[in-house]
Amino acid sequence: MQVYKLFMQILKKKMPVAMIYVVLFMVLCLAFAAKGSEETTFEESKVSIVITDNDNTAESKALTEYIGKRCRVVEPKMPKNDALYFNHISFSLTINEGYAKKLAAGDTDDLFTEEYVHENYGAAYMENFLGEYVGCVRAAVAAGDDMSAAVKSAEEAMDIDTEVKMVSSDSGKMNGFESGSGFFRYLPFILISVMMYTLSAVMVAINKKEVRFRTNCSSISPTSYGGQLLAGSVTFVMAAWVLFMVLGAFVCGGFDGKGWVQVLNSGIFAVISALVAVIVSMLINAEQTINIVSNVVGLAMSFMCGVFVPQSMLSDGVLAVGRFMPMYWYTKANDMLTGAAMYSAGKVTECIAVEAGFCAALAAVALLIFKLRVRADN
Amino acid sequence: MFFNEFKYSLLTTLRDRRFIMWMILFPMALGSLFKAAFSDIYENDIKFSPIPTAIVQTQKDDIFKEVIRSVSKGKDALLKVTYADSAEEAEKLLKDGKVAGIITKDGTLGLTVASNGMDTTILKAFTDRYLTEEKLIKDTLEKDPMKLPALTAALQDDLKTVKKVRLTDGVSDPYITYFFNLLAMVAACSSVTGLNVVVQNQADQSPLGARKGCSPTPKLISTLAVLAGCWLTGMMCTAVSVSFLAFVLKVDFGSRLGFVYLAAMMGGIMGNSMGFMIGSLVKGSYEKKNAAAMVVSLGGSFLSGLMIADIKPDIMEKAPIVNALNPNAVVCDSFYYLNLDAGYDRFIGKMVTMLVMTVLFTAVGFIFTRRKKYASL
Repeated sequence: MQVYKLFMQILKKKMPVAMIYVVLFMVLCLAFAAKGSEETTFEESKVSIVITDNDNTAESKALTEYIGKRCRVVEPKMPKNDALYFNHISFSLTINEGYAKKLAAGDTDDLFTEEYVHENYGAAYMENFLGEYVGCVRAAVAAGDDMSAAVKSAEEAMDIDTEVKMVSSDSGKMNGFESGSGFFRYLPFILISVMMYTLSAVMVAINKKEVRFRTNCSSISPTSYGGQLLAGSVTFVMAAWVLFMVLGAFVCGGFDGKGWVQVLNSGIFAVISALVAVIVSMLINAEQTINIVSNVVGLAMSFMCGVFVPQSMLSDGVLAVGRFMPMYWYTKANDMLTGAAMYSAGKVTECIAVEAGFCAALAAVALLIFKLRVRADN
Repeated sequence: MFFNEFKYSLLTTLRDRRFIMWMILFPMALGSLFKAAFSDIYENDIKFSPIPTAIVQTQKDDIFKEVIRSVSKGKDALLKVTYADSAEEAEKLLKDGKVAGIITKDGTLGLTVASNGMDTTILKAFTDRYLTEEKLIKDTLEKDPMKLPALTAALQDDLKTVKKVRLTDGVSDPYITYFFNLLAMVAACSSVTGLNVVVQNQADQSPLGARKGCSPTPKLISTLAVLAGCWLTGMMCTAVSVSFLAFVLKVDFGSRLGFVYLAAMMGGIMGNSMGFMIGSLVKGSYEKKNAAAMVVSLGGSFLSGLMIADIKPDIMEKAPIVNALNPNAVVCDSFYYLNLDAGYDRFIGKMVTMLVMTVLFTAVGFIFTRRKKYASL
């Protein structure tokens, strides 16, 4: 166990640097969880809208009030074009001056002005809504009502609700979630980054040419040496993973039945992360470069496998490539466990089994690279 | 003396080929990935397109059929309609994700959906509207049938109530901000090069620093020369990244590409100066300095929306000061304002901020690296 002990000694020495990364990613993890948790309280979609009333009449005020019942009227603290660009608001409505007069005269052209940056679904909804409202008021006037009565009867008529039946679907977006919420959704990015940043510091020290050559001369076999390095890495990984799970238990308020499956899913992925970190640090033995490579690997996998952008929004081509990465299977299982996709115990088990397969394959690749390097050194 | 130091600093940085390669490969790899992942999202998921809907009509109703036809034709169509022969067939389309909802017309009008979202909300708004107009007709028939022709004429009119005004001539796709953030991250990662300024000039950090400490060259000149070499490398890396994104991946930066280069290169200079400051403030080994630089660049990238795009508008609204002080967000915003705004006011504001930050970081770096004395080396 000499190599294992050496690994632990170096790790102890590098602990202050490792802790910087662990703390950074714990903070990021909390921030991700806070951001993701918004999706758990999904309700029927309400359009965010900004209203500017340039007419300021009883009719325009009645419309503003009625829109307030159906939509979320907001006052953004940022410029309107920024808010529209980032979809912070979906619709910017101006009730033009002369709205009431034109409506009473039956002239419906350009009663409103819509400022837009891109044509989104919220805008389509509002255009339909405004058309319906004006159409109903006109119809009520045509039926003999005066303006105030027409506005009232239009609002009453528009309060009708269609009976909506909900069915379950295999195509994702169940219950409105586009991807699993909260803590576990972003965990793979955190785990792979933390492992690569911290383990690489230890591996770079162990893989230094002089140290490696000295070790190669010793009586220890390459398989045992590589195995002990992997064991050391997995020990560190499990410790870091336990830390994150304690944080997760704190954030989620404990784990329930499916929560424990998520814990298992993340545990397997933590080991995968460690193996990826070991392989990368064996291939790139310069600390300055390894941090950038860690960025590329962590971010690339997260984007391709549906961690940052939900799998349901990614193209088939991207997902086809993502299937060759363990993070894809982690996310797929997690989506089912959080209600973002149709739950199936069999499919979750299948995903976790694929991850376990990746684990074994990566361990074999790590040992192979290690043996090849020893042979090349000789 | 300055140019001599500058020349060798540049050569040293450029000879670290693996690092330079990764600094250039990093945006190329992620940029290509972003292009593959995000190129269809705007068209498919954000920009409105007619909602795929299955229609199951068990009773003959010409008015309903005409209404469906009118909302599913032309360039402003609301629905993309598929008629199903049975409820089972329609439900299969829904479960396979081929339609967003099923509108059933038998005695009454019903809607079946598989999820909550803006598309299904629009479907519900459409069926609500149909039922509303049906109710108005029924009410009028009961109260005053003579008014029915006027009422139906009013309902059938094709109204153009909304005048549309587009607020920007720039690229509307919000996913382009991922590319802006990527360039901001390249600039921030240049800070790793900036760390070398301290390592190469501090006698207790490297043998080269120790040799330089004994040389007669004034420290200010020597440090400035190394820093200028790093600035040039940072500018080169960001310029190559912009070129790759603009000309190879064909990312649409709009018509002001020259200013995009300017902002990116200024970002590269700022990133290097930030690294210089971090290197001088964080005492201890290169590893610690490197860790601190990565914390700042990764944390900054997170806050400027590289990982979750929604973070950016949230911060813009709730804590604009964070956006104003985060170097990554400043670089990203300079591209964003160049894309969105017709004028240059906000872009110039961000360029000035980058300049001020560069001066500040460099000044702090100099203050914390000057007048060092060593008892022994």
